[in-house]
Amino acid sequence: MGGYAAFVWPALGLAAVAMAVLYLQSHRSLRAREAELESLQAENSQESQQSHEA
Amino acid sequence: MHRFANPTRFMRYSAAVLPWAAWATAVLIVIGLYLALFVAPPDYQQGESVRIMFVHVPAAWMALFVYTGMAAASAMALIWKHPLSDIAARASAPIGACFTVIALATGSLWGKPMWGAWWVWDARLTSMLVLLFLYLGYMALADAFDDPARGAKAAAILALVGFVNVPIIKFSVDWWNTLHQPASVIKMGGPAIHLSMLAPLLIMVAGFTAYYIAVLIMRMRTEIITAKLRSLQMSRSERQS
Amino acid sequence: MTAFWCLVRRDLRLAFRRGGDSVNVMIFFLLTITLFPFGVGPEQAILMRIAPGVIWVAALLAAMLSLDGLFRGDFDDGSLDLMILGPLPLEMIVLAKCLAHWLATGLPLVIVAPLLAVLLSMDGEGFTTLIGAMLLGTPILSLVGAIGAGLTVSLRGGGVLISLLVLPLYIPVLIFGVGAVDAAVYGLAARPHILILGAMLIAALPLCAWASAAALRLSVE
Repeated sequence: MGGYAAFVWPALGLAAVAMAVLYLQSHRSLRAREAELESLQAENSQESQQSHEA
Repeated sequence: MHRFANPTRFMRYSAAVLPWAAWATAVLIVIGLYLALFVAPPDYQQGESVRIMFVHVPAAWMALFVYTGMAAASAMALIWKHPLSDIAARASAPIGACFTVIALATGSLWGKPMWGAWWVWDARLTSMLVLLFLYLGYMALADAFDDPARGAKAAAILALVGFVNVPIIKFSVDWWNTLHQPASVIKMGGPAIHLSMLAPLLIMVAGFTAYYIAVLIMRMRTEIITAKLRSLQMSRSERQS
Repeated sequence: MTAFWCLVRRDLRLAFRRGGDSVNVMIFFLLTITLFPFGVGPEQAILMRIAPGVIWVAALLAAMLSLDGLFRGDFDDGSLDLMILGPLPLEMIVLAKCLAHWLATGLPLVIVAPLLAVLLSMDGEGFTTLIGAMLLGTPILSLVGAIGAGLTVSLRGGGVLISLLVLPLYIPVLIFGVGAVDAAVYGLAARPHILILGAMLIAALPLCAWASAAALRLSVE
């Protein structure tokens, strides 16, 4: 890298890490909310089934 | 336009688009980086450190592009009351801020071998720094409200005010810089740009744009689902009481 | 039009009665400027060089500190709701309150600034330009600050947030305000800077009134 390696790789690395962290955090948060929604909807349909049968 | 105003429709379309955006991001960035690191020639003046430009410049462009998108979405939210607009604006903010930080950090790492200092108050970097403050202020204001809808509307006003100020700030900072600039400073990016350097640059920009779309979709879906969760939980507690 | 001046007079009377605000702003201004010699040393050459910048930054901070009170009092006791229902359009209400705010807090800064410039050994050449630039700049600070104040008036911890929102927007005023004084001190033309400050003031009047009114409408609902 012509002696500039100490600057080029950290720069690229920093950008990569920042973008990866943002991506993963967004992904994880989306999955978590989706799971919550599913469980809440499952509970709701269970309850309405029970009240129908009652 | 109003076809896309429906959150349910958005959820359907975005689910289809997301994997494409994610793959496009990976492919474009890998190709771009390969060209940038191994194919593009070293710069006449700046040598190998010009490789940083292939991340710095796209990040800086994206920082501005995302802010423009936020302002446009904010205008749509305030003027036409488009329901997805303020969600889009809020979701964009952290992505834009991330690009701004990357632009500043890579700019600093590029500047150190060039100018011998970790930070210089040149017009471009200084304007990027002010842009970061605009992003941070936006995020702080939106989060300060208990009601996220009101927070988004307040932040929308701020985004528009900020957007109008961006050219004013850029002009002022450029002016300030020429007043205090002693000799000539190596312009980032050099004079005319050769195709062997332009191609990886544009590919990286495309890759970053695909990245923005992918993360934006994820964050918007999260926000829509969170809103649904909130209303479901509220109606549950109403029924139970 | 009389409703406008009524509101200005009312706000001025309130500010006068409280008294604290204007005086505190001036004391803060003085204190901040006094900190700099402690920070950078009493050497005249250095102080002279940084004087215009320090005075302007201190003025910015002092103006910013007084912003929270611009709408909060009226918001808290419900007067703001009444005013919105009244005959005066909200944009004019904003302008009236900004005018009163400037007269109570901005104008004192302008008057005190030359005295503080003496403390920092600023060159006498710059005094008139300093006053002129601040006469144009401080109203802009009140107007732009009104946007921040309007956005945060309904929030509990609004004060610190205002700084974060408003300071980046103050930067152009700072640049051209200091530019004007520096130019005068070095014997160059201060006119371009002054003209730009004037243009910013003229542009700020309708734009900030509109944005601040939109923010208030949002905060009040």
